[in-house]
Amino acid sequence: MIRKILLPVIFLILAYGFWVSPDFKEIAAGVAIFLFGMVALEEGFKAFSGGILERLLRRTTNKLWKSVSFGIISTTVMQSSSLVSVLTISFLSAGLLCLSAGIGIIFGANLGTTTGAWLVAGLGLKVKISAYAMPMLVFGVILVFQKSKSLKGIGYILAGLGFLFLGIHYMKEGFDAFKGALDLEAYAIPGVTGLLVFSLIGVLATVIMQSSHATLVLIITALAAQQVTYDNALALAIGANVGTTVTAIIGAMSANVEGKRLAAAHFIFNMVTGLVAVIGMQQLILAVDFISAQVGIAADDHTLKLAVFHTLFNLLGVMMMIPFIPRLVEFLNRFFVAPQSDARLVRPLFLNEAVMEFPETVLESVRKETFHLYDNALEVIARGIHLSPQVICSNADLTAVIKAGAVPIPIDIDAQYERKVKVLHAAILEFVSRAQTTVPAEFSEALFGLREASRNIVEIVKGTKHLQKNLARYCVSGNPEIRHEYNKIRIQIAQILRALNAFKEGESEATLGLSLDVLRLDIEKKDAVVNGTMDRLIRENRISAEMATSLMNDSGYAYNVANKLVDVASVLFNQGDKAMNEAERSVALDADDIEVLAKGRVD
Amino acid sequence: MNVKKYLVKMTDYLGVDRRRCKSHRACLKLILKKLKERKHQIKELLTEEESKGRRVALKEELSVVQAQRKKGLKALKLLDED
Repeated sequence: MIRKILLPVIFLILAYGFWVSPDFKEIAAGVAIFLFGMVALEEGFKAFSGGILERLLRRTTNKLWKSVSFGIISTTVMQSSSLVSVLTISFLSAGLLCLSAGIGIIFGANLGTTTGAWLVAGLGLKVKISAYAMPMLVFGVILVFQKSKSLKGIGYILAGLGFLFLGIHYMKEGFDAFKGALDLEAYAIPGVTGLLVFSLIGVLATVIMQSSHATLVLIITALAAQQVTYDNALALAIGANVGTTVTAIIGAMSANVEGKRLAAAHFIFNMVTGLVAVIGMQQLILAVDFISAQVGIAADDHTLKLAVFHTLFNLLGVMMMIPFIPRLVEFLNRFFVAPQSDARLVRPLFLNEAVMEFPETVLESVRKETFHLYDNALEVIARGIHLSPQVICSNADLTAVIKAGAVPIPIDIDAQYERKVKVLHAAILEFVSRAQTTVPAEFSEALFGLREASRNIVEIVKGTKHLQKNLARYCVSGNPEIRHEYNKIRIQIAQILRALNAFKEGESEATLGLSLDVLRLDIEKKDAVVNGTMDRLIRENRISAEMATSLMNDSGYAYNVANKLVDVASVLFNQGDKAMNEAERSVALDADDIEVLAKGRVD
Repeated sequence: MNVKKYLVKMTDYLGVDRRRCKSHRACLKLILKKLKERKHQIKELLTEEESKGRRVALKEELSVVQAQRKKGLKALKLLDED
């Protein structure tokens, strides 16, 4: 209800303001242009995602100081802590980043965002930046119309900066003109009341504009035009810092538990920093005066002193909170608990809206979810061939295990399929279908490969279901011949699962391409041997016609299951360099090569 | 668009293609080197291995390594010819 009426109310208030004061119109237009500039700037930097940004993020977050530095530098360059927050939440949700690294980035971003105040106070108000805005806009818009993704990105960045400068110019002009008509400084509130009231106004302004950067520019321009007192401006800056967490909280609503933890860390950091700033306001003002005097900022240059204050209290917050990061992580892990029950297995763990922001996180989350599906399917397949998953993943002698434990393990594959496989497969299908409209073409192939792998996993489970009934029946049969043949099927599938597990765990020394081709050859060879054995057993009347029919069908199912397992592995475990994968594909053997080799071995 | 612009565009295109080709060739050479090492390793293991089952598995792997190497060398030759 509130949402429905909020927008018309804001429109009405603004329209009334525009009607009453043309200067207010100019200030509001300045804010709108500035916000549009930020949108364009984010769009521009997003054009470079799916590459540079992600690579940087992956490489520079293995240590806390690197994460904090990444946050500072990226926010300084992009002038948007929101984009850095969204990127971090997205990476965290896709499991590409640990929580402490994410928190480090967010802390750094808070510090990085203070450079905006320096730029505006130091450059924006001292130089006629609108003169730079015009050429930037012209060049930017021309580049935006180019086909090349990089040129388009540069175009958006240039146009974004142009709009930012133009917005600042309009705000400055508006406040200067406003001064003649109405003196807002007359509404200044001194003391603690002023501190609290203006902090709250800062929070509200940032929540409405969804950008602390815009609020800060507004504060600085108002301060430069003496429309707000220095003390009240400091309080507004504290409020803007707290209000900015709203963007992160909204972003985390669609994220998984990791994203929610990060948003909570952001909120805690900004609240604690804000609280400390409010409590120690007088000391901070003294410190600002001291630092300003040391670096040569004039005592009456309030805009630059505001920038000093903004940097100082954020720096204080970072220094205060960094030692508590491990405890904060511990607390957040306890507070936001990922569901641990068995029912959790059926829920997608990595597919959420937050990862949709960047193509690389989309791909990585689909890969991780397919791994999740594979893990669930592995349990079903293992029990389907009447072996425990622990045996498969161990080094135990499979022949000995099968001889020792002849009793089949009861399992309802249909129920397990519904609970552990179908839901995840459906989620992957749905997610990939949605993602393919947003990711660039170079990511589509990999995405479709993963979708195919997911489909193959489902086929494998279904194939195992077909096998299971006769396996249970014949692996305890009184006929040693049929028992032996069915146990061979069990061993073959178990061996493939074990080999793939070695790859998954990184225990295999050989390259993936070589190992998979060896497995393919083995499958082909065993299929030929089974066919030969079957003919002999029928000819020599060692198995009944009914047994022969079952064995023939089930060998076919086992052959398909084995081949599909290798196909799944070739997609799922192939995570290396793109050029290397391409080269590996060019030496990989095709079906004809394998057949030739298999015949050579059998004959 | 004049001829000069077309030429510039074509050179750029060829440049990207050549870069990709170069990187593909380097990766292929690396894989061939690894396969060669594995081939020698398997041959060495075969001289020491006594278990029949293990010997069969090693021979099977050797045949795959040789087939992959043959395929890789052919691909490399084709790349060099281009």
